[in-house]
Amino acid sequence: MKKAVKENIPLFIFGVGITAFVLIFTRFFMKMDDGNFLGIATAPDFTYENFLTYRYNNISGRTVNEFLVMFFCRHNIIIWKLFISSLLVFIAYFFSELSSFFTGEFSKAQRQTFASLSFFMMIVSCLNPAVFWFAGSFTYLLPFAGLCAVSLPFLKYIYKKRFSLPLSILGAFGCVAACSQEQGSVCCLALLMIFFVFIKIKKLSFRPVFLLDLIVTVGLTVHLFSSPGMSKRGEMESAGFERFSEMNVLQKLFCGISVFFANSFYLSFVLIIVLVALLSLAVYNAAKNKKAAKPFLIFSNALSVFTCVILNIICCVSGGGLSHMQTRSAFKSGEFSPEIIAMISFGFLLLAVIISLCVFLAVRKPDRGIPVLLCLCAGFGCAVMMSFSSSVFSSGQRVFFFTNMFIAAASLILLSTLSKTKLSKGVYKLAVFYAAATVAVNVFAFTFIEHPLMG
Amino acid sequence: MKKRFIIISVLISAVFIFCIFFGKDVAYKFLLQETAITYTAAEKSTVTLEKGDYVLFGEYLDEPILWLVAEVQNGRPLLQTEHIISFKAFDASGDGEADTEKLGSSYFEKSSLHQWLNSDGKVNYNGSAPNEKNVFNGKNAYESEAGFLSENNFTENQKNMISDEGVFILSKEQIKKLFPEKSRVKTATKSAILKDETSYIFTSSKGIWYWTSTPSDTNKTSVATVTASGGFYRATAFDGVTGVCPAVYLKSNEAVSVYGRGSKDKPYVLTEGLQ
Repeated sequence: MKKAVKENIPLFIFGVGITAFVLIFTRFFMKMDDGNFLGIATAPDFTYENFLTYRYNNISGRTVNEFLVMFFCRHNIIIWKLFISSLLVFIAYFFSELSSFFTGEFSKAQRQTFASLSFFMMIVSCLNPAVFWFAGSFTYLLPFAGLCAVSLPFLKYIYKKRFSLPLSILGAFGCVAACSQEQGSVCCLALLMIFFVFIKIKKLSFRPVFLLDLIVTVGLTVHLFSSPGMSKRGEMESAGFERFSEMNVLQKLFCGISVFFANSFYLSFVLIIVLVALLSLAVYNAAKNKKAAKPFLIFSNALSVFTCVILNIICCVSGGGLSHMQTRSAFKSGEFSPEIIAMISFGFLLLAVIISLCVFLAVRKPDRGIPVLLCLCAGFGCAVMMSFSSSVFSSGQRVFFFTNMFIAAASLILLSTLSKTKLSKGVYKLAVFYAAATVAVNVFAFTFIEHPLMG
Repeated sequence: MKKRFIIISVLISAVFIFCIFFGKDVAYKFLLQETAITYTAAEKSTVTLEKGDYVLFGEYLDEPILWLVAEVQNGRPLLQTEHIISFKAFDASGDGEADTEKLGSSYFEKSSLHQWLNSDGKVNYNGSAPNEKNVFNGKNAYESEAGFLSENNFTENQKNMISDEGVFILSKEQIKKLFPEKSRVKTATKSAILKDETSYIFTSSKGIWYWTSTPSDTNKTSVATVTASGGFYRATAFDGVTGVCPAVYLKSNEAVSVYGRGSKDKPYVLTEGLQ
């Protein structure tokens, strides 16, 4: 035990710190869904069967998620607090395991610090409702932890050729958690397909227990998407975005991508700046002609800083609101201000740069480029999925939790492959400093604001 | 590096501890504006209250209460307070009923709030009292507070002006009918904010959630509320951090005013009873 703690000090400190934070600061929010769920769960005539059937037929097919909401509502809140603390520690552990599959000069302690703080690199208004809000934690944190649990046995098998039956069975439970929500379910299905392809490419033997994951995932995905409540809820929520039904597929896609820019590029901007910087350093290391690569890489970073900071500030000041608010009113009204047009145009340009860097890295150094590309595809995919939901504007910034976590994972992989230079250490420090500042902001927010920056 | 980390941590902790003890007081010096309207009583005059008029009628927490005439029906004006005058739980928990024991009831007529709004002097609560044990996190309990209609707040003349419905809060449907979304946004009086016992910071400029009298249809413990942006959502009945905006019907819209012209900055002052 002592040895394990000694070898994983950042993870251990994170575990203690996050548990203390959750125990002290998180609470039920009586004015949000928590109070409503508590009221339902404590009613004398409550039965799980009636509740889940009603929700399946009228609200959504997130049966596992809703079962757990009711379960924890019926017990002391401390149990939920300990539960989400352990999920957070597990995700941090998974991230540090993920970084261990790559070789670079950053120490284990530094990688674990980055892994542990990766939650706090996104904007608090995305983090808080997805992680520290009772009802939200089951919709975002739990499915993401499920995805990590599904991936862990596969990654160990593919990278280290170590097969663990208990871990694989845990992975099947991970599928159940991951498939309790739409983004998680689609990601889980895609991840399984990718892992199966990698097993085939690496000529590893296919273990029957992997089929269990597939069966659980397919079954729960069908259950989730065939729920009559899902379409009813969609109709209900479309009332808040009337133009949605008039938009064709391309327009919806455009809307979804613009919302993604507003939330990930302009709100969680530090994460994107860190990603582009780390990608540039990785590309620079991988490039044959470093002299030729340099101007493009300088341009990429200048573009990311200009877009995410300077343009962001200019547009927010002159447009009279934060990017996501301006985007929402533009798509709801159909009137696009010059600020919105600029933000979307630069968003596309930055996205193109990120994809180009990523593809270049995947071609030159597939061992790190492909995992980064896959993480970013998963992240962007989760964001673009929102294009087809009329609730794209009604659920707030938390719907980009998966996207931001995948971007953080990609950044961690990149960091793990880099050599220690002045630049890479600078980017590492920026990320850690920003994350620590977010923790401090959150401590104040949870103390002095009733609904602490809930997006 | 380690030394720097320790120094920064100690500094942040010191700032946090300072904020815990003094943060609210310091913040409120900048965030709160005076909401109490001062006036000097002039000659009595008879006024006919019309929709959109403002009146000062009664006091609460030593601050005259500003009311808006929301509508006039059959010669009876409906008044609703312009601001949230207090933060109070809708109903106390612990009433012994299986449905509402833990979280309070969403039924207004029997709620703690209804009893408080219609009592003068000490309130003898039927069922459980809104004390620290029975409101969420023990904050903003009001068991020991004198009723809203107590003599400190309303004179006999003023109480006689109130129609038989007594003091109530508007239902979701009434609010929907009477006010467009933006006009539903309400801020709290300075005295209400200063009396709040939680660590949360409120401002005079930002909307705050307040109760309606309509129960939520999803359970027996949630009540429809008006949100900070003027929309509708719900809160749990025993939550003590939701605002109260009382409403009354006056018996007649012909009243005696000693000041003002019915505008927000110079409202009528109804101290003398009806005409």
